[in-house]
Amino acid sequence: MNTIDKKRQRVFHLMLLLPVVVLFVFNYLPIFGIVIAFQDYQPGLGFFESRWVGLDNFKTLALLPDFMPALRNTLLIALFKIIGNLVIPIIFALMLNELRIKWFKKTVQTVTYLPYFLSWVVLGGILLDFLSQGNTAGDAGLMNRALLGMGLIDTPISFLGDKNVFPATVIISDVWKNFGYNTIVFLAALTNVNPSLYEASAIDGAGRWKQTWHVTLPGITPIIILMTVLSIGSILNAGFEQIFVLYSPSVYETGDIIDTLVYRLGLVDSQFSLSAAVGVFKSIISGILILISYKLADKYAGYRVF
Amino acid sequence: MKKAGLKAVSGALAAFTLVGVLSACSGANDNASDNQPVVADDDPYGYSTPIDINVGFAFASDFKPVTGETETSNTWMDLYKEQGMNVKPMYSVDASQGSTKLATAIASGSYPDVFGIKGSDLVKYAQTNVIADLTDAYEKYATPELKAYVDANGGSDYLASQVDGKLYAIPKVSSGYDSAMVMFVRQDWLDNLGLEMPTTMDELVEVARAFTRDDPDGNGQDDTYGLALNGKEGFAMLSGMQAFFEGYGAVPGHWNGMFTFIEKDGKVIWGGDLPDEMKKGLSALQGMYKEGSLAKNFGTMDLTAINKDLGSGKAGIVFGPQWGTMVSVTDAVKNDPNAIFSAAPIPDGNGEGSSKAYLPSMPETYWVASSKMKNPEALIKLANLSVQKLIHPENDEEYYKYSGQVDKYSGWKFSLTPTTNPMGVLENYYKISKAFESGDTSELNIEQKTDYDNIKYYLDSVEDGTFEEKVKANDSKLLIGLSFYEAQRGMSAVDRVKQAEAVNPLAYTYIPTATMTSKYSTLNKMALETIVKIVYGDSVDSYDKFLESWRALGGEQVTAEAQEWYDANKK
Repeated sequence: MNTIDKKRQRVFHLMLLLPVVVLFVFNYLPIFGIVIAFQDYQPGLGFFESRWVGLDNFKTLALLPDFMPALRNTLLIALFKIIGNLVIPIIFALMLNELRIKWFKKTVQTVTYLPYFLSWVVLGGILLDFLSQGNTAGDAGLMNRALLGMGLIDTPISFLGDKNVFPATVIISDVWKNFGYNTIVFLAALTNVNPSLYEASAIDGAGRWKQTWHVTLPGITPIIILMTVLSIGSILNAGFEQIFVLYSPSVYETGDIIDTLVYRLGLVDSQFSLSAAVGVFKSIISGILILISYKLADKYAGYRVF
Repeated sequence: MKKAGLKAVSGALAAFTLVGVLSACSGANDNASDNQPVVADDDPYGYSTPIDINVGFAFASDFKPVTGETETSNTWMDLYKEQGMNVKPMYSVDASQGSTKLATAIASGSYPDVFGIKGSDLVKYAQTNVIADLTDAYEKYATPELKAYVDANGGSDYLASQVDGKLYAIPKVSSGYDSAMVMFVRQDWLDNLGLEMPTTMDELVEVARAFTRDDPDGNGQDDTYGLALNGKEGFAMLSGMQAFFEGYGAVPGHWNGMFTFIEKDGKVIWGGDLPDEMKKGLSALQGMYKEGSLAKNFGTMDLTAINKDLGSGKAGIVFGPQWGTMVSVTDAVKNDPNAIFSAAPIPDGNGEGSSKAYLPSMPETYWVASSKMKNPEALIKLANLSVQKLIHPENDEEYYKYSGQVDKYSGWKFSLTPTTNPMGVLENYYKISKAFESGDTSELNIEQKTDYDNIKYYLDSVEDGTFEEKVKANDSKLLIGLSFYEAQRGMSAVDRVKQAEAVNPLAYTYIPTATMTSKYSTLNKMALETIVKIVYGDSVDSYDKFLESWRALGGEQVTAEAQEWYDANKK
């Protein structure tokens, strides 16, 4: 390496300094705050003088009657969300990719992308109306009226008030909201598949199904694996905002998740230490899951980030 | 991921409601105050040798001062300056950030000297020496008017401001009657069907059934139902489920987020721990749901949904405090000019006199002084001033100047300790209704006169037939008059509750213990869930099973703690 290169390197390193400092101050320093998960934290005493209680907060957490159901609901809802948010966009991307009319493809893409930009607070209000069971006859939401009209159901379904239906409502509406965005990721991956492979397979006599199966899918496997690995880390995030705007006491049993529990403990009851303990618990589980899925991705798909 | 936990924590800090945050500049290394001698000034309203008071402001973003006034330049700041208290802002943040800012300041050790906190912090801050003992200062400086204000609820607020027998705060006092739940019913629907205002729960069930089945609005369509009940927010302000059970003398929860402890035969009990009363109410509600008298959607109905159904003339019965239905009533009238609500106490469910309105009288905010402050008595003087100017103004000019006047003075929000008359709502009601009876308005103060004029304007419009026209023109004076008229009707129901003493006052009027704080959300959620499920069709007897686990999961312990406090302080 000559001296000019070294000098340039030095400048680049200097330029890196500011982002590193910013990252340290805003992302690493606050990590220190997890100490309150091991304290009986009192704002009046602060980090340094609050009493240390070891793992007491975690013990309290495990004994909390709401915790195990919340954990189960979180895992269930998040797992199906992850699956839905992978499978549906892949299928949709493959279908879009086959479209030859350009304006139609673009329009479909834009329309399906749209809900992604709406916040759950707005969307929650819309869904409450759309999925409403209706308070008087003929007052049901669009969804129920459509189903009634098609003769699929006899009485309106309580999508948001029935504890057996609620998780499905949450999962499907989440997939609906996000699949447009996820589709774009897979569409981008599809454009990277080498066109000569398609030509070669066509010469070998492969039809569109065979091409999809043997060329397209293997071509985007790394992206599929990457998206899976990334989403497994969020298995304990079942979507606070969404659940919070949609749930009600009648669906607590199947709809209460860890984040809504933390909200009630931390915000409503001001139990900082306990809610911080939940946060730490989530971090540890997520960290382990990311490590495992990363190793699996490396082993089975040869995919490495580092 | 780790940030998620912290976010929850910082969010939690932001949840505290704080009002004016102020501080006297008297830190040990502060030059300005070092120059000033600490004088024992006997003046209850101020200082002859000026002291500095550093304040932190936390105003809501929707508060717009009138032109010419700012945080530091307004009638209140002028008054403080006149009285030898120089107010200097330490920081100014949005109200949503106020509590976070204060909590961070306290954690860092350099915090405002006088500020507002909520009850759960009072004990912590008193015991960790964050705030000053005000016992002597209160005795010495509090004016009789301030003492009357603090004792307005029979002294329970004064008691609630003490920690280990010492006074640590000036409470912001409000009357329990302001949040007593009453029932509003569509009077025009009752008239259409030839029904009477229900006085028992059986009658209520019948009226609700008629409202659902007999087309009370006469439009030939099956588009109405009886009772709008809040199954989503649960024990809420607007049509909270607790209101129904108050008709049976029980109260399983309240929107203030505290256990509803009431006294029964000398014992403190949780208001939901009355299996017979609760189960009677539950089977009534369950029956109503089954026959469609409750909204089908009731489990997902919140304040917005209920207001919508009331405003669009779908629901005919609702529970709420006297001011709670002001919004939906105006909406209903815009939709149907004939719509009018009447109010009555919650019907008796268990024989005459069984309906008992729950009265939670606890301070909303506690104003406290820092333990690092040299002049903690300044807080008492500030409160003296507020009580004088806001509750006992000498003349109209003073009322406008400190309480506020459109386009001229921003008023009370700039006060560092905004004390409002705890009995004001009831007093206004008595005075205004008396004025309507006699036609003599000379007894009214400015506030009452303004309300009187608005209501009169509404009533006159009804009389001369211009009402519908004015509703269509969106006449704001008319709509304000109408909503105050409805609130007056609500107050008349509250007055009936008060006269009959049909109340269940909060028995544990002190700061929640550590156990209460930690058990509240779990136990409250359990109660809510159980009640909603039973209304939806679960066996009523499952309430017994719920009570068993409620007791086992901490209910027994918190009740015992409440009893202990009650025995020591209330007997």
